Amino acid sequence: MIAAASIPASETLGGGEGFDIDGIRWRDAQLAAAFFAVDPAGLGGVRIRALPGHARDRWADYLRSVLPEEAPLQKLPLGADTDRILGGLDFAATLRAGSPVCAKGVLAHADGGAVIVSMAERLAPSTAALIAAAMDNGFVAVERGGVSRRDKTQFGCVLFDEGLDPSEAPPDLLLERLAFHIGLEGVSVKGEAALSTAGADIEHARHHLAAVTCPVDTEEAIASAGDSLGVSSLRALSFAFRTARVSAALNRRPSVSQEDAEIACRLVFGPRAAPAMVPPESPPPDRRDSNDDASSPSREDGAEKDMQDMLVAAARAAALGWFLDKPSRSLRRRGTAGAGGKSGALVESTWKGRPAGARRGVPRDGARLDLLATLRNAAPWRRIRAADDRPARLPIYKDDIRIKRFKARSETVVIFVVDASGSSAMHRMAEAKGAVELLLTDCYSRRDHVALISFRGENADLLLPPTRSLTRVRRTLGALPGGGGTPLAAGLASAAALADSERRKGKTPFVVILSDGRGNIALSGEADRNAAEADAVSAGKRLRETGCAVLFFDTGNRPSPRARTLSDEIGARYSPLPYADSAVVSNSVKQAIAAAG
Amino acid sequence: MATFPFSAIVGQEELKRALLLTAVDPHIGGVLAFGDRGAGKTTAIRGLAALLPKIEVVANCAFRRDPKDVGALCADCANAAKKGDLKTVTQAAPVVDLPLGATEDRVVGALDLESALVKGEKRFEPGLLAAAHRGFLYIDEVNLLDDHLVDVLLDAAASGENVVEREGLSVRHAARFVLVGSGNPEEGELRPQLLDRFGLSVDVRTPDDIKERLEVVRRRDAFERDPDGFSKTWKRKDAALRRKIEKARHTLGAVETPDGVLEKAASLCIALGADGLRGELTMMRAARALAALDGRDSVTVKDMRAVAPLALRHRLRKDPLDETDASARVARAVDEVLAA
Repeated sequence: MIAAASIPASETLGGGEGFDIDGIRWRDAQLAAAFFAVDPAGLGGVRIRALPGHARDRWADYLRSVLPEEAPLQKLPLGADTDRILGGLDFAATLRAGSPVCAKGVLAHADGGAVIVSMAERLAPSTAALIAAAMDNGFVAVERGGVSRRDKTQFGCVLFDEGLDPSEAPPDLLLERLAFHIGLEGVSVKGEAALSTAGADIEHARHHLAAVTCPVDTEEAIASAGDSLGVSSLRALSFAFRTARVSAALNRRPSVSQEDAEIACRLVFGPRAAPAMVPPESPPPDRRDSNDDASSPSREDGAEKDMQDMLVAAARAAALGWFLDKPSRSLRRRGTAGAGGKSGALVESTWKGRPAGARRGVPRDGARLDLLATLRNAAPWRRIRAADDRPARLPIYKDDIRIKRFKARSETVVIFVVDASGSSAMHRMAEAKGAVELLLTDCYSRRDHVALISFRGENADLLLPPTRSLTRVRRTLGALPGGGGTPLAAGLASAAALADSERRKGKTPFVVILSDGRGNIALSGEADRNAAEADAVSAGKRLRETGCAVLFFDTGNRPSPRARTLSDEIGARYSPLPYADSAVVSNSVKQAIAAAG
Repeated sequence: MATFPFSAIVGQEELKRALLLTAVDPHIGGVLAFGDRGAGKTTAIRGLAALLPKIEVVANCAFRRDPKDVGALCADCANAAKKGDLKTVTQAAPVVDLPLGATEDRVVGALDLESALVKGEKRFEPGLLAAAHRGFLYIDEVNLLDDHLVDVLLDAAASGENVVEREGLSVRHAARFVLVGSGNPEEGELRPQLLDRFGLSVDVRTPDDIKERLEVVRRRDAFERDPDGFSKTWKRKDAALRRKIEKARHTLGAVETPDGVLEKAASLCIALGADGLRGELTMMRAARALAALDGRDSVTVKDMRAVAPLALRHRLRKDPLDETDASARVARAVDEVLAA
């Protein structure tokens, strides 16, 4: 029986022992899986944020157990090239057959089931866009290499997101199309599953979903709840309605009940709620009473407002869980060597191997020949060309020649590390901001990505993960506060970590530091000048080890030997921030980037 | 597969207006719809297909040539036309999707794979540019499109023709289409060169009125449950809109633009420092199309007010230090210069 689907946590989790946050999260994860199994394409999918481990495996097993047997689960490897994803000409088969043979891609094979992406935080936006387009259209459009076809497909997505900090997340354009975002990191799954959904329940729900209705006032309450949580996306609203209906169908109800609406708001709106709408001090979801009330008839004319409040409360509790669950925001995490089996070399090779594609062109000016792509292009024309060439060979014409395209070469990430501490901030913060803004103009014209790290008080924050959106940089920079100690070491360590992770993604990081070099907060967060300096030097060395070009602008009132020494340790180009002469700043960065490029 | 009817779209008045204007006068240039996800950009563009007046084409012509444009016909067809026995057919104006992941050969056209492999024949297989001729070419997530494809598109859009010189083929055919792009600025901004090629741009926002939001989702839901039934209930409205477009196309040539209105448009562009003359020209064309769509024979300042944000907001010089967003800047200038 599916009864558990709507039963509040405390009942299914063996009540008496009190609040069990793991249990609730695990049950939510299972609910999401069961709902998804009923309507994969309609609900878009599930994002599971967790490192690989027991909880994740259990969840995957559970999903498999509730999905109909015939529903395919297609794994999409990160490095899959576009031909494999969308489908296209099967060259081996084509050459064998002598006439074009097309192969379906992963997305078309997933019809009726799901596409699974592991390490989804590394999914390139361009790949995510392919998946999103197929989800929106209900078919895969292939316009590649002489093939033009449409393969009908309806699927949902399961993203295993192993991102550790906010800069590591699957692309928004895909996340937006997934109804459920579940945090499973650190959840320990004990004993029996909280939810026992039989395949028969899913089957029944699948058949009856279309007939489930939703009362108008419930719809309105859901919409208002979303609104007051700051969830603006219309897709989210749609997902909430659909989730409520799926929940009703699973419980064999003809119409959406308040419990269904609550579950829908919790699962769909919770993780999407704007942080400002979720008071950090709000208590954990200990709201048994409201459910009792819900079943009592006294509420009958009560009012949509009550229902809305209840829905908001349900979603808030879930939102809180989601935010709390977010792994540490500080970039001051693991050392340079990757944790969890992601050794540097391995990741590097995956990313180098990430297909940036091939294009027509001649291998010169540093462009490299893509032999395989060239051969593949020449192969089909063999018969035509045989006339003017010796038939035994594979004639290759200039038009066939493909060169490799490297994203890495063309994409620079400029990482600004801005000292917003008291010492720097008081005097020259405005000028530093001015200099950064000026540099942004150049970054814009070069189409660079820009990231912003600021350090003040006790630690460094990644204010803005790499973005091309100038609007966001401008907004963040404008709101940058100043004052407090100078955790220079933390700033440099953050920069090193970010530079390292960007390099692994195949991009070329370039670091611009604006500081007076007077660190006084050690990595431990203590205000110990000596330790702070030692830490700054060692963090600086780590930055140097990443091998990326660094530019150090001394924002002190006058150039200081200390900043100079630190800059040398980092291997940076040192330059005092000239007073009121932003052109000089801009020029030095241009030169430095040119030299680094 | 049924598409969501254009006239059933709730709100998004600016986007709808921009699309209708380009449907009346394709010379306005393309439409760029940038903004919030899930606000219905794609829906509106797909829905437009049903509103486009049918076009007359030479029968069995891979390039959708216009029988009236005798100069553009191939030798055989021109001969037939002279004798007066050129066969023509009426068909729907194309709205072609350029899917992400499309390769250059499919965009511009290339050797036909099938005949090359099976018969060993060289035959040109027209690409998406040919398919979009005399219609619309739609690119979703246009800011994720590969740069080298963007170059190809810009080239064709600017010249109105597609020149293929590859694999021993030499083909040249007309490719005049309205480029419609959509995307989200958070994914990255567009190259200024590409921005300028779009005649109109729309800032798409998710509605924040709960009633409107509910209505959007309800209609969407009704459509998904019963696409055909839903489409049927809106068929009449769509047809009325199509007739309006057809009529506007006919009267467009006769719409006058008084000098006074033109002068005001010019001073608006100067006040905004909009680059080049393209802004003024687009504004004039769009205002004319709007007047025609409303069944009037003369452009008013009110028309200019209505189209100014569409035509100008993406042409302001990009100043990364300016916090104000372009829409607000245009709105302010419109209030000052085009005070009614």
